[in-house]
Amino acid sequence: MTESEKLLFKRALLDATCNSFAKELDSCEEDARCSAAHTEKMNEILGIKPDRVQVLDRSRKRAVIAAILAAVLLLTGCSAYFYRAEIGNFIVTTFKDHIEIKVDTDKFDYLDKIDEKYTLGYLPKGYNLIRTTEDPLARTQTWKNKRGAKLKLVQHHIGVTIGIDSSLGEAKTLEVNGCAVYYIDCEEPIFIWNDGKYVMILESEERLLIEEFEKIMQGIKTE
Amino acid sequence: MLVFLLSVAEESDHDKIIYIYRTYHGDMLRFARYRLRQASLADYETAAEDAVQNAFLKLTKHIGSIDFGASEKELKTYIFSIVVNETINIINKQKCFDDIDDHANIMSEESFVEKLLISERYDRVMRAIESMDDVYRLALLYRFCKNYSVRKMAKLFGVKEKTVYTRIARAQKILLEILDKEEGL
Repeated sequence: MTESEKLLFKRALLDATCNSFAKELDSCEEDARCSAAHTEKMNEILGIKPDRVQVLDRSRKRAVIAAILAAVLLLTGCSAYFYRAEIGNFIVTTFKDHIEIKVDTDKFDYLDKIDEKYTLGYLPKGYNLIRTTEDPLARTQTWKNKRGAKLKLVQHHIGVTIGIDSSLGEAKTLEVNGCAVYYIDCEEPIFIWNDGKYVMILESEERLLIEEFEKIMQGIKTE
Repeated sequence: MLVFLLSVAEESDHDKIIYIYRTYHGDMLRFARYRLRQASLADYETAAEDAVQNAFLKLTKHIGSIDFGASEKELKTYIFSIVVNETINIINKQKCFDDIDDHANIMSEESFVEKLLISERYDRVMRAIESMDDVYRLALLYRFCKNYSVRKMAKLFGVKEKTVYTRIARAQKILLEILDKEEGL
């Protein structure tokens, strides 16, 4: 047996197996939806924490529809939510189980894309950048310290609608660089603010002093 | 569960498994559903989710053996082969099938590949492999392409080592028989 024959056999095995799977997958009409129990188990296996901050809507058009729907519900007395408040230029709607945060986009002229990239100019000691991911509508940077705790900055275009589980902690506000910051005060705090161009979310896996978080937010700069 | 999570403790391994999840999970689930429905399993939807979960547990344990530098085709084939194996295990368990452990002898790699005459009939060999039953095809795939030991294959497939010996020996015999039959036609 020559080496080339051995290699040919390996190739034949791989090609045949690949073809056979591809044929099956092509003729399969099943869908990929799965049960909540499966998602939960997969999160456990993969060590994925369910997202605490969810992007509910990223398109301007749909955000407008959502706003109209919310207004209709309000007018018809269908109180789908408990209350609505304006915090800075955020509209914060508190539902039974979650909070929705969006910017009153009628006040702004904006692009559905990220054309200025922000990053942290000040970092607490020991944090190093481990990952940057981006798509046209959002950019995420993650830093990690030696204890394994992560700090995440997500930059969205301003038309985004954010949802947060209302059971995470107490919702509070503060002001940084003249911008209203909406935050969830818990062991792993979440801060949300906007500068009229982008919505920023800062998530921390460690509860630092509030002054430290203020310094981080004040230090945001363009890359 | 903690044991499995510990094995993906390294950031890079965790990233790899997350990559597999984000890229292939949907197709893995569809594939498992299709195979288990074809096998007429009553609760095939739940069984398919079990198969995919088990496949991810295996992938997590064997993440170090997966070559991420390989082509996408190769990577996908290995990932799906693990799903196939899990569906086979579920079908065997539910239908009370089991592999018979006879003492078939594995041909040496050299004499087996020599008998295939692959340089003269590559396409025929490929078609013959394609027509083989999955358990046998996967036994050859892991033995020859991944160079897995019988013990490692037994662990991955969730069967006894004797069963792996039998599967390899039978796979070699079946493949040569298919080719001989074709030759005789």
